[in-house]
Amino acid sequence: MTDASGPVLEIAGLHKAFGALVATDDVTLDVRAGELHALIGPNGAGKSTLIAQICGELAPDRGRILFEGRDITRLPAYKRARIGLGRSFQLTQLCMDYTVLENVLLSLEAKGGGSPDIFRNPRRNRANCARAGEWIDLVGLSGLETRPVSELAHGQRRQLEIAVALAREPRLLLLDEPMAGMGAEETGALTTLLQGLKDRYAILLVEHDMDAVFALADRISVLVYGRVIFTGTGDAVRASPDVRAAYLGEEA
Amino acid sequence: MARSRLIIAAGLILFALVPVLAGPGGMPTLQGLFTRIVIYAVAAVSLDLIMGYGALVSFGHSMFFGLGGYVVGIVAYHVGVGEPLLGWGGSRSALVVWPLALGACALLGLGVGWLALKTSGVQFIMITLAFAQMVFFILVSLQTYGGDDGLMIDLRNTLPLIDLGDATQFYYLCLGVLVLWTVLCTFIVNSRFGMIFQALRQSERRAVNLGIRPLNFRLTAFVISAVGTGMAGILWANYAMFVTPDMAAWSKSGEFMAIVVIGGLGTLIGPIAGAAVFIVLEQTLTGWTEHWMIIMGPILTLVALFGRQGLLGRFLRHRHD
Repeated sequence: MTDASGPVLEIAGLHKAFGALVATDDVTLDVRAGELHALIGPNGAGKSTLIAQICGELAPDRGRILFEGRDITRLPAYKRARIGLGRSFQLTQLCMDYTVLENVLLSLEAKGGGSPDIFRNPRRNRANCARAGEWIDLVGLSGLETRPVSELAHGQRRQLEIAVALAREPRLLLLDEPMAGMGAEETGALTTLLQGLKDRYAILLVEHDMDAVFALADRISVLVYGRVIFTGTGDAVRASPDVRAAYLGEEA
Repeated sequence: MARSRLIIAAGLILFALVPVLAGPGGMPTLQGLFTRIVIYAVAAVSLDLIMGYGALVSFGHSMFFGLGGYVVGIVAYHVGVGEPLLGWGGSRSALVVWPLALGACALLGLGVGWLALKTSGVQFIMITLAFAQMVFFILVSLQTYGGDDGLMIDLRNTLPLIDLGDATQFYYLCLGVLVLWTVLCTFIVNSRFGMIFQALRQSERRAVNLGIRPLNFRLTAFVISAVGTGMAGILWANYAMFVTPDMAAWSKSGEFMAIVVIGGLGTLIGPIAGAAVFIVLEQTLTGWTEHWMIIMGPILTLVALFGRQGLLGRFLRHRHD
């Protein structure tokens, strides 16, 4: 269907309105294999609405979403996840009663839709526990495997959120403000982690932390009032007067 | 962990010794009381499976209790009067009648669950209640089978090796069912299936975005729970030798929910203790006054307010690993 260098995710003419409010206005963008594409924009620009449409929680009014060349515009969210779309949430979505290890195991167990097996205990699956342990180490939570999520600090939950998203090895990763609420040190650690991982996945990163965005992104798209006003490299975005006026200027 | 094992062992020994204590000590009513406790406990464990672990608050589980009981009653009626049921001569064998009753409950659970699980929260509670009311009024309208008054059962079902007519053997049969069912539910809760089913309670969004279709897991659990409650209905019909539409009344669903909450949501063992407390209180209070709910109500409220994890929740809500 597509050659290896084709985009993993293609969004064409996507449109979504809530009454008179146009949250997604003719958005076209793509994420190529091995690319980290950052999506930035002021609050209320429609970033979360766009993510919700990509992962299937919200249906667009018009336009198409293609994943590896396949039209997934009408595919339910759980099926999109099964074909390789992974995500982290802006507001942490974890199983609070489960331990760190159980949350990552769940991600491995859910691959392919989960099992109707009512006898085997996934916590006794050594191979999966070892794999889960590796992801936990990678995000810097080693030693906390048996700790319930409800007892974790906010930053630790954000790290676990990444581990859960990564463990199922998706082909496209949507990271919705992964640094939200993290301290400078944690943000730095996560930036380093993503730097090491970004060649292995196609990543669409929504993030407010501009240092992280400019350090990580191959390309950046700027979303303002639901519209992509600019797509280009970090340097091009910095140089663009439109972006300055619409977005960076506000913060400077 | 060790404490919960101790509670389970102590409880099991207590339940196993009931006929010994009741027999020569001259307390035959004690055995009847415990038989009722054990039967209610089967239903409570079943309800806890979806309510405690999946946050699926079914206010209609009495429909499965009633249906299980009525299948036993109706088949027994036809065998008794020698009138074929839809061309079938009927049977007294539990090995024939019970699977039939459980199958009926599974089918009803599948239909009701499929519709009710399209909603959640309060709507789910209301839809399960509505279906239970439908079953209740259907049972009331069955004039052939006694309508409002219910249906007497002339003889208990038969099993090879076990004489259900013997009170002690019947008690041990019920206890065996309860133990096996609780063990099975424990397996389910700790299994790969159970891990995902519980994840849906904690974060449905996360689970969906990991590739889970919620309906598959919730409906499966709902049907398993329906079958367990149906089993309790079957045992009740055999114990009381009498089925009435009240078995499917909304108040019965409420009793099951109260028992689960008293005992401790999401503990499986807790609801067994909840059943014991509820039945014993009911028995004691009805001896004092027919308005026993006036006393029971405040007790339930106190447990719900101050023992937020139920009687045993504090000791039993351990991590299953």
